Amino acid sequence: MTSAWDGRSRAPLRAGLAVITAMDLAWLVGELRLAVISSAPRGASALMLAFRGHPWLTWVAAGAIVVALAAFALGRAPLVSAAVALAVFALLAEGHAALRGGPHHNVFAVGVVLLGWSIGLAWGRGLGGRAREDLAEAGALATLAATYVAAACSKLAARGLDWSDPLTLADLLLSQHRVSNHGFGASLVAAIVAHPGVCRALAVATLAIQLGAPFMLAGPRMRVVAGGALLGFHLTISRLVGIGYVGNMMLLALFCIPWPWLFPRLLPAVPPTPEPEPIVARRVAMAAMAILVGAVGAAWFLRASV
Amino acid sequence: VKLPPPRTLVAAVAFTGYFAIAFAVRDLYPFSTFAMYAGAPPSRAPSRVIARDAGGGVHEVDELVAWHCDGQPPPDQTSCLDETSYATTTYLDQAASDWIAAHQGSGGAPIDVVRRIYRLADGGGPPVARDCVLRRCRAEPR
Repeated sequence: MTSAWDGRSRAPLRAGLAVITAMDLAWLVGELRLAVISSAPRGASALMLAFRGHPWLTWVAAGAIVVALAAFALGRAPLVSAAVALAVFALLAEGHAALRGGPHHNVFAVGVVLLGWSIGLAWGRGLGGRAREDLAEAGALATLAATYVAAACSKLAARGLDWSDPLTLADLLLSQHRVSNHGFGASLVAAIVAHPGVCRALAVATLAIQLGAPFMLAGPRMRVVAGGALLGFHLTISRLVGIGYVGNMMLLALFCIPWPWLFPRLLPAVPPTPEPEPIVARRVAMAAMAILVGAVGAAWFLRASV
Repeated sequence: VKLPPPRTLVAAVAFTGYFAIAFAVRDLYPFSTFAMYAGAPPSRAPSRVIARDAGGGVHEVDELVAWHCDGQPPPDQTSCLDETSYATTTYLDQAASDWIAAHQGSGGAPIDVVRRIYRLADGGGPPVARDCVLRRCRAEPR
């Protein structure tokens, strides 16, 4: 598994991730300010009551995330700063979901990539490296790919191949399309909705592109193809119905465009990382497997007990 | 047995872990199965809450501010009772209602908050759109 970033510093990836997370944070803070006055939903979780009763909590949490992201971008205690940013961002996102009655998935990608990056860094620590950002990049791409495969599997699990029924896309476009968009997007929506064959083809393409996300892990050229397809998918949705997963699009552009090939002189070279002793690699792999089994087991136990 | 390189192992564990935990917890940040457009069977009559001006021009609710209405728009199917069965998108209806509540003012030009219901034919072709008025308001462009 190779990367266009091999032999180059991955600091731009780290800094880019911090900036994109900060941009999603700004959106989330704005949404939270609107959500605290929302009449929905009817229930009252502790998180909802906390944010509704103490609006300043939003600003304190946002400040903590900004500080953590700045440290992360600069490479200061990257594992701890990523964990703090992710944990507090999760608190805000869950608070927002409680106030709104459901999550807004457009802010999930930054958390997903921070999680994957942290998994790679932690693995590297186990191998004896201070900041194995090649592993962080692999972890980040893997978790991002998993989100798209999960989305496709959800569709197939719920409705099987019937999800590609022409009505699915027509319904989605008409219920989401911004009516005041009288330009090219509106003409495109009208044309697609009127032709069931086109609706079916686009629905099948959606499933294929999402299920193809793991090809981002198959080397830099396949990353461009699979990531480019996902980027095109998001841009098309944004054009047609205004659902802008900006965080996803920016992360795909950051991770899938081979920037070191485009600007080789701008990025400092770094020496290759020596591979660990096999005994150490095996020990870390066994520990990771144990943690994986434990985390998945705990998650399923939690589900069964709720 | 020779282990795969660390990058391959990290990717495999991160991918499998995220996927398995997401399907256990469904929606707990940052884990999700992203099932928002997966389950609900599609409708032949989707609808949207929008704003319509006196000239018949249509706008998104969030393109207008200084709202002054005769009440909050009903966010569910308790409205438009003269229409036969139609589908709603709850979070979009709620977002429109919240926008109006958060951007109250002294009003402006007459604006109707309407539910636009699209009817799709079996064999394709353009949908037929009908509006039913939810609230009479006044508002001005953002």
